[in-house]
Amino acid sequence: MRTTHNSSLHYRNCNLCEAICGIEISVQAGQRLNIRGDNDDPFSRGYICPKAVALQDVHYDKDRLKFPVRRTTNGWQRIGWDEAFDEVAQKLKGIHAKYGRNHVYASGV
Amino acid sequence: MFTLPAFDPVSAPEGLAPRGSFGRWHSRVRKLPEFSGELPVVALAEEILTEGPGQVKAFVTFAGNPVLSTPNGRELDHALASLEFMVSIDCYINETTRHAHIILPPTSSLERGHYDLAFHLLAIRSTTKFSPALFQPGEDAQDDWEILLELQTRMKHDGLLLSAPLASKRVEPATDYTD
Repeated sequence: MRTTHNSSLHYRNCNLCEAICGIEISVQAGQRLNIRGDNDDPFSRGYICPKAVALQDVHYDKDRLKFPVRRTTNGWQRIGWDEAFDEVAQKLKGIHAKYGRNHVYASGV
Repeated sequence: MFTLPAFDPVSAPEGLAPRGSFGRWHSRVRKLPEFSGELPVVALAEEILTEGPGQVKAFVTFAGNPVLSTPNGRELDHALASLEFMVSIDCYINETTRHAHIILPPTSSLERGHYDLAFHLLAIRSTTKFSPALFQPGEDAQDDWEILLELQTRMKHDGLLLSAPLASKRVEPATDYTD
């Protein structure tokens, strides 16, 4: 991290795909970001694709969820983490108990 | 030609990195072979929709959007609507997670540290790099590993729910921009 008067540079990898490009993020006033390829990254050597630049669009996207939600007949309802974890654990354990362990699938496609 | 990652699944102990498998067991409906413990996603919708012993009743998604990204997503869309329970660890309501009963959103990429365990294996140069978090996550935010650990803990301790504060051992961002 290099910090000047009111801006700083942050170095990291883009984690959006297997290319793991090195990026340089200039932060101004704590939140305005300028993302570019890091010329000194020994792996990607300054190259990036549009996904890396869009990391900030995801971070600041107003549609990105920042708390757990439950689906109800009246739409999505905000709930607390403790309540959410409890409900998920109880429901999954209930299905284990009722049907057996091979009835729960997981995917990360 | 091949990289030598700092964390190398090829030379790691068996417990950390399984050696892979094929055809040890088969899917229920159309008998497709498993590959390293996973089934092809084309078998998913029919495993949910076909009644009988072994029918999928609950579904956990961890990122991804298979209704949009896998073959015959329309059938999967229909199948997910019939599940008894679905939970998604995802930061968006999308074509897939709209069927979840509960969505648990993790922190954004810029709010967490990152060290890539998988892709150095496929890279063309041997390098290593840890990325610290840029922003401090919100008070009420959970990293994806914290979400998985908490679910595992609550599933494991049957009937015993944790009352202690949620475990948190994050690597702090290099600079705190929240002030």
